Amino acid sequence: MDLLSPENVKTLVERCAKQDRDAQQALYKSMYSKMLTICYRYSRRPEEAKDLLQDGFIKVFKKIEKFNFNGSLEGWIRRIMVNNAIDYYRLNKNKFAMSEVYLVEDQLSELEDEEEEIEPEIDGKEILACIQELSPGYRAVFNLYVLDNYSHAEIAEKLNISEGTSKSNLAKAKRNLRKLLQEKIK
Amino acid sequence: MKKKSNYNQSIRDKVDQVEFTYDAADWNALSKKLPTKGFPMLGKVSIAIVATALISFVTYFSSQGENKELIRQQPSPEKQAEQQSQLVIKETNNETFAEEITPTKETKAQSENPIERTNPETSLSQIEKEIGDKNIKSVEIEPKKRQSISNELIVPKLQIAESVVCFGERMEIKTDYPLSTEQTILINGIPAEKEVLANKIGGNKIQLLDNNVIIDEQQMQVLELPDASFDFLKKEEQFAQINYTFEAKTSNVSYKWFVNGEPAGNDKRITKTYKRKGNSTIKLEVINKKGCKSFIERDITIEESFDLLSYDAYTPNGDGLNDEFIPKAIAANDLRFTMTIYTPSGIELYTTNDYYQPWNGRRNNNGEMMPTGVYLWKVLVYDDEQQAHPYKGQIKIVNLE
Repeated sequence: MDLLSPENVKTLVERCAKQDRDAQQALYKSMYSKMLTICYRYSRRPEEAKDLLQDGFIKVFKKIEKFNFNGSLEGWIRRIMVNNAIDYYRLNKNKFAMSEVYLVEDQLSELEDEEEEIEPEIDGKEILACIQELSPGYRAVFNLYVLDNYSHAEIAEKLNISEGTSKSNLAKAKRNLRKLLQEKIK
Repeated sequence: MKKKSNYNQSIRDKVDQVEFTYDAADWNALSKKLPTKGFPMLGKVSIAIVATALISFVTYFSSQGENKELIRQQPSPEKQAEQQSQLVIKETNNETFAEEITPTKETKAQSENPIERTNPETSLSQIEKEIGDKNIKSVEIEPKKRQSISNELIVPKLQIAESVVCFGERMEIKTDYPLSTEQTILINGIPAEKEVLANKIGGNKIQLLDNNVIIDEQQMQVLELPDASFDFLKKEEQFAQINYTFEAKTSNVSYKWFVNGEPAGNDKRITKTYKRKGNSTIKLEVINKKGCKSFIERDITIEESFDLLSYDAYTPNGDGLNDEFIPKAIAANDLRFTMTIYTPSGIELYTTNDYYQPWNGRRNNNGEMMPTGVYLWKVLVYDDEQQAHPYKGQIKIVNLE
């Protein structure tokens, strides 16, 4: 049975809103891998990713009664996860080294890697591990832009940085990621 | 749609393929934190229980004629937010439960609103049975739900701890009574959580809505943070060293500078002298008169190649003038170094790491005098991290007899 088919999703949401554990667990299970991947991307360590996942799902179940069936449930949960991760990043920004966020914007442009392809032998888990190694500011911009499809303007607003910083951080994030990935191949 | 490159697409594709194996322990940990602790079977009827119990509650307190006083003793909104639970079930004895649930039967017909929330198919006896099965004896309902019932009795008010906050700080918005699901807080017209980070400079309108009707409104001022950015003002090359001056862009605030974590001054500008290549972290913390604080940290890399100030030629003829060779900057800046002298064919002639033992033109400084001509020198300068920075050059022995 497809849990998330249009005819089932309404019942599922309602049951989840009523704190029906079975329904909640079913939804959790079906989203587990995808959402954990997102949390991985925004965190430094696997344990941190799990914390983000838990927090995110607490929010999901708290707000699920407000889900209005515009768009997919998965997309909605995904947004909550991303926003949750960004909130976490913003709250902890002072704890992280902030240097890269405020570095003078340099001449790096992202044009240089427009044509570049990723090595075929690298798998997704290795990419995730490398993303975790990026510094927090770079990681946030990289995730939002490359993987969560936000524009620089939106990122600038979310992270409270300038658009230029967002672009420059993205370019640097890509450059660093490339280095990290190359080390993996060796 | 935004233009995103092949590179982005291939990264996305690969990441999308990642699968994590489901870990039931994660669910167990999560489920403990969700509302309605650990009684999944009750989930289906919890709404009904809550509603019926609510009615009993209201009836009970109305009969006491001092409902408002009693409700005031409920947990603070903050505490309630932590609880998040719809239903707190306590183990007491059977009789208590029976007592509490009994008034429900009487009120059921009179009260309208809450009944709509109940599942009409779930009769009271069923609930009792289920609860009996689970051996749960007393039901205490969470304040949030009480509140929704007692709407007409209590109108919550906004409670704002600090009406002036700095940008990026938490705006703590509380209410004197817990909010029902129909009541929402808007910040500048946008629904908000109780705790948000201040993100709009100036006046922020906080509104409390009940079924889209404004029941309370307050203002919060969000102050701008001082600008902590700073400039690399100038670079002065002095004798084998480089001075960087950093100057804050903002005036009229208090400054705290840190270089590599060490306090480095409280003026608007500081000057830092570098004697060798390396990295340095400059942090500026500024606090304005209103107490808003921000900081910026920058890593700078000193990449200038420092001139070791060696000379081209010397005359080791013992006349007291230019008899010895060592780059001057080494002594001037007290650098740790190793200097090695080679013949043009690469044979090592002399090695020293002591400024007071420069090369005097002899093999090993005590062997035969080397003939006039060009020799090569190599100096490794060590920085604080024991990193060696190489320099090399030529030195000519000239014999001025």
